[in-house]
Amino acid sequence: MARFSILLPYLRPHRRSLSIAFGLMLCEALVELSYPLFMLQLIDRGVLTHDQRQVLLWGSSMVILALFSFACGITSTFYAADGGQSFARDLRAALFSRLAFAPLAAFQRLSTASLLTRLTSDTNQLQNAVFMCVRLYLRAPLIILGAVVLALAVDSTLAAVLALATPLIGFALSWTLGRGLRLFRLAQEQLDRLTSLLRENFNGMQLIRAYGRGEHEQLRFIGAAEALRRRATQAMQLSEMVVPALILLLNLCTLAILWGGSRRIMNHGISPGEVVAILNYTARIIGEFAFLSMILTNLSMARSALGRVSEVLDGETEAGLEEPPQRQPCAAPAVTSTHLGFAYPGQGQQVLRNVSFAVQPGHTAVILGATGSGKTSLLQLLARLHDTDEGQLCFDGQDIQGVPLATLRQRIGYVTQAPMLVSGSIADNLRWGKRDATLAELAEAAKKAQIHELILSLPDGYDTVLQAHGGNLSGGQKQRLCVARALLRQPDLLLLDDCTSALDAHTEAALLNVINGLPCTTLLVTQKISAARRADTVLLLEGGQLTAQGTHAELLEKSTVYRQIVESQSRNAGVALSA
Amino acid sequence: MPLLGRANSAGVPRTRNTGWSKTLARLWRYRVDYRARLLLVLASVLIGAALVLLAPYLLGLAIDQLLVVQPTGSAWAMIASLAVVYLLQLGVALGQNYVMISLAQHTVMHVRREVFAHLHGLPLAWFAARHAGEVASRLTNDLENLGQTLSQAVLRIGTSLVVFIGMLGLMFWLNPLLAIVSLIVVPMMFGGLRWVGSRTPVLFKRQQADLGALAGYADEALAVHMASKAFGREHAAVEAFEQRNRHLHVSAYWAQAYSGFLSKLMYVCDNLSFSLILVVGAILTLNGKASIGVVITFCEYARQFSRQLNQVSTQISTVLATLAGAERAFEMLDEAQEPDGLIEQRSLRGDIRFEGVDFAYAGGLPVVCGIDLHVPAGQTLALIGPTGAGKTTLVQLLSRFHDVSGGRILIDGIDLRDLRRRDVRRQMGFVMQEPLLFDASVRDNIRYARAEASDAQIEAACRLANAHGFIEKLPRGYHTLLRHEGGDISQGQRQLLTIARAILADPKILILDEATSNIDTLTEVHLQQALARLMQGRTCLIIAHRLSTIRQADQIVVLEQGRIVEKGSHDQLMNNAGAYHSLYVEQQGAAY
Repeated sequence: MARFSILLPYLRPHRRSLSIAFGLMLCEALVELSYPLFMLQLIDRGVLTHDQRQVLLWGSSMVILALFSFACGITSTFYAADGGQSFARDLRAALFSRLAFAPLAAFQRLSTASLLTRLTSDTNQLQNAVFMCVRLYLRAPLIILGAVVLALAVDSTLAAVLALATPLIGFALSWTLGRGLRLFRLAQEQLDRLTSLLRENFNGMQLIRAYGRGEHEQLRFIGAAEALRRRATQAMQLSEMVVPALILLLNLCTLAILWGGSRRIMNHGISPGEVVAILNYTARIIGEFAFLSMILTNLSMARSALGRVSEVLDGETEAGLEEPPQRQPCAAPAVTSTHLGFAYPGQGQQVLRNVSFAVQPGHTAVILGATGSGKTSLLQLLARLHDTDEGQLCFDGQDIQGVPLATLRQRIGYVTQAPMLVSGSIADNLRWGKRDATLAELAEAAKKAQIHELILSLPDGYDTVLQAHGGNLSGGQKQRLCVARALLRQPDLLLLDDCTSALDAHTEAALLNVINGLPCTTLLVTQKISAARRADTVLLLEGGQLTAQGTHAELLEKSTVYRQIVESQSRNAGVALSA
Repeated sequence: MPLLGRANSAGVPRTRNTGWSKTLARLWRYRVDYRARLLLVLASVLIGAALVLLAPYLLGLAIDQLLVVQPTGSAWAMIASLAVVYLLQLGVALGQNYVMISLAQHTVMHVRREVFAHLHGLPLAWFAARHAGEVASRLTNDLENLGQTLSQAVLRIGTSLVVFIGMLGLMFWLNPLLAIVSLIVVPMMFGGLRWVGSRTPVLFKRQQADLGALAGYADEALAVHMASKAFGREHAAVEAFEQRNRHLHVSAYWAQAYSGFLSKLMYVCDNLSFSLILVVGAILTLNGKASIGVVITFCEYARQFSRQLNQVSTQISTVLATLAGAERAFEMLDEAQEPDGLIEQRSLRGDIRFEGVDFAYAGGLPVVCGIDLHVPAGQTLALIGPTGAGKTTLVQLLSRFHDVSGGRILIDGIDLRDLRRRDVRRQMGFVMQEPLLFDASVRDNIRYARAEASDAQIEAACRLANAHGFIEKLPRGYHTLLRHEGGDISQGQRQLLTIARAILADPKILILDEATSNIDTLTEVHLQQALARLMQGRTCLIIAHRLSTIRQADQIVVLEQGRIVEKGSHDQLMNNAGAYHSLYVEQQGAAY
């Protein structure tokens, strides 16, 4: 359940603006509450005593107060906007920083679209709730209470009926608010169900038609839409039913005051001005009810936004990501894994089980295996994008858990399976690898990655601007840029996740040659036997377990599965097996 | 995501913006069933407005008779009639809201149902050109807003208009001078509204642009999250975000401040007119030209007056926005449904013939041209060629994703367009590059092919598809829930499930589009076996990049730029030493 307190750290720094806005709103409310009293004086001292000067005196004070209240209101708007928007800015910053520093697996079950919603429209909902709170939501109860208190002050006997009605009104309003929020939540859940049903139909339309299940789907949809209709009707009817009832209650109070007032006037126990003032207070209470349904909708939206936002705020962040110290020159590490076990958080099945291997410093290891056999997970564990559950991963005998994250990752060049580039120039993208790299360094890395010539052939060379996700490059070009980026770091450990899949045979061979010649330790995930042939070690993963390791020749000897892969690939290629 | 081949919006006509009046007229059509109830609502709006006008008037009279002068017998009648008015107000309000909300929700429900049913009749190409999220949002959020607006805004605007006009008349009838005083603030209010209104659009636009920049940056940053962590870019990313965040903060602040003036403007106008009416009213009373009761009536009217004005001005913009949303939903109803053939043919043999088939997207260049093919029932045809050669288009034409622009396609000698669509589809099975599964259990996913299939039949299909083994090993076996994202099972295993489903469906014609291209070598062995079983006794069309997978095909067709350049069996084509031969040799080299 969403807690409001989670927002306090972002509200507290802006309490000055918010309190000023609230204070000024209070002034406005006080002016409004003072009006019936002025009315009282104007009638009793002016009209009933036929004193025009009194009328003008009280009347002009009211006009001045109106202008004063307007000034308060406008100033309050600036402060409320400042408080609300500064809160929103801090909240957005906190959300984004949570996301940026979160462990890789933390938000994987949420789609990017849903995370963006939290950053933008959900934050805006909460901001709006804060803004409206200091302007309107808190104003309504203040006016209602103030009106009752002041009416009692004018004449406690006559206003007693209002005092009696107040607890009832308070109870009805809070009940409506509570129940209304619940009903709106239920309706929202139905709406979400309908959305996911629609998405499923949209994405599966071909299947639905191929198997003639259209009618079945339509029945499902009608069921869900009907449930939504019922929920939405309930939610909307609630406040629209309660408010007229409350208005009637207060109108009956009006009649009681009129009746009581007329009797008291006959006995000269009260002046007409006083009765009119109390009647006017009653009218002002009624006026505040008009906002109830608006408050209800806004708060219910803010509450579901709060739930989604706190999901992100509650998320964990990685430690050890402070700006790292200057990188120490290190040699290529020996990588050892002992009895490594790993399962993604929240998923029972281990993706890696009891994996042990060793790669000598400067050697190249190729990781082979079926999709879902744990190859990518293994690379991610080496960069500590996840933490291991069992066993150890060591660089030169030192457990990587003991190394600060930033220092560890500084030593690693990682090429992800899907090329990850951002909008910006090619040089900017490459400099992810090394922030202050010179143009010569960029060119050297790009040459190694077999992409230098291509970059030069582009109209703006290294300043060519990439579209979002590198949209203006081909798959193979993106892969090579990512490799160049990793090489630019001059990493001690190079992790390559199937980064040659979109390259033609010639370029791939050239790239693999360069990589084999690098001084760093390299782990290369691939599907291709051609790469395994050149490697110092081949690691064969099957269903999360390391079933064979050794050189190409050794594995041909001892692993049936490896032989099968080699055979199937050479059959595909029509090339004879040559060990 | 497109289900078949690439997305293309070129062939999809966009309807023109028809304007809100037409949308309103369309909505009216849905109300036909409810016409009686709607008339009731209309009557109650009139009565409700009359009561709104009557109550302050009676209150003024009552104040004059009860408080200022000595009460007489008729004064008590006044209180009684006020009580009746208040009670009636409650009754009318409850009735109105009840009827209107349920009416609006029923209407929305009907629109939803109709649009959804219509969607099921739209050509598949329509779906390929759109995003699921966008379409879903039209049917959910846009129509949900419509429901709220119909039930609330319509009543309020209706009431406001009647009250507004009635009030003007009443005020001038009661006291013309006081009426003019009450209206003094109206020009002021409009002036203020216009002042704010002329500034906010620019501010909101700027805010929207800054928000877009921020969201765009965050979108990209989230997409490359893994690389960003691997390269220690977290601080740089947060800093870049902060920069955009600060821009947004500034523009959002001004937009909110200016639009926040509106309600303050309302307050000051309320307060000023209240004060003015009191002063002028009091002076008039002193001169015997008004009474305290009349002044009170006017105060109440003035408050109502500005509130109604406010309501109409704010609600109208909501209504227009909502109608625009509703129009987006209606637009889908305007999309032409695919025409259906009339010939009922429950069982097909699966003999396929293309005769001089041409296809071009509306207004575009031809994609395929002069295609002549014959695949006798039970035989296998493989389509190969470079990207963009038209392989997928041919398959799309056969599955009536598009209809041919020229020539014809015959199945069992009958023009495809004359056959009932559902009969043809029932006889066609697909195994695509991206296995398509629902968020449901393994069993339900397989059963989708045949609702009445028994568990034993499902298991049998899975055994044939080499899927039974791994399903049994899943923690919950056949009850395991499959999810779109998150890899509880591998891509290859998902593909095996779609094959099991196709086996259960038992189609006469089978289309395999790159079915094995995303699969690792180990699973591929299982997959090839399963496919071989599936293909037995069916007419098959295969698209493949890897030529090794299609050597056994009865016919191989090489396409280039939409035309057939070579046709024959593997051996024939290898002897020809043409396009196929050189492709084959090229692939041998690449795989090394």
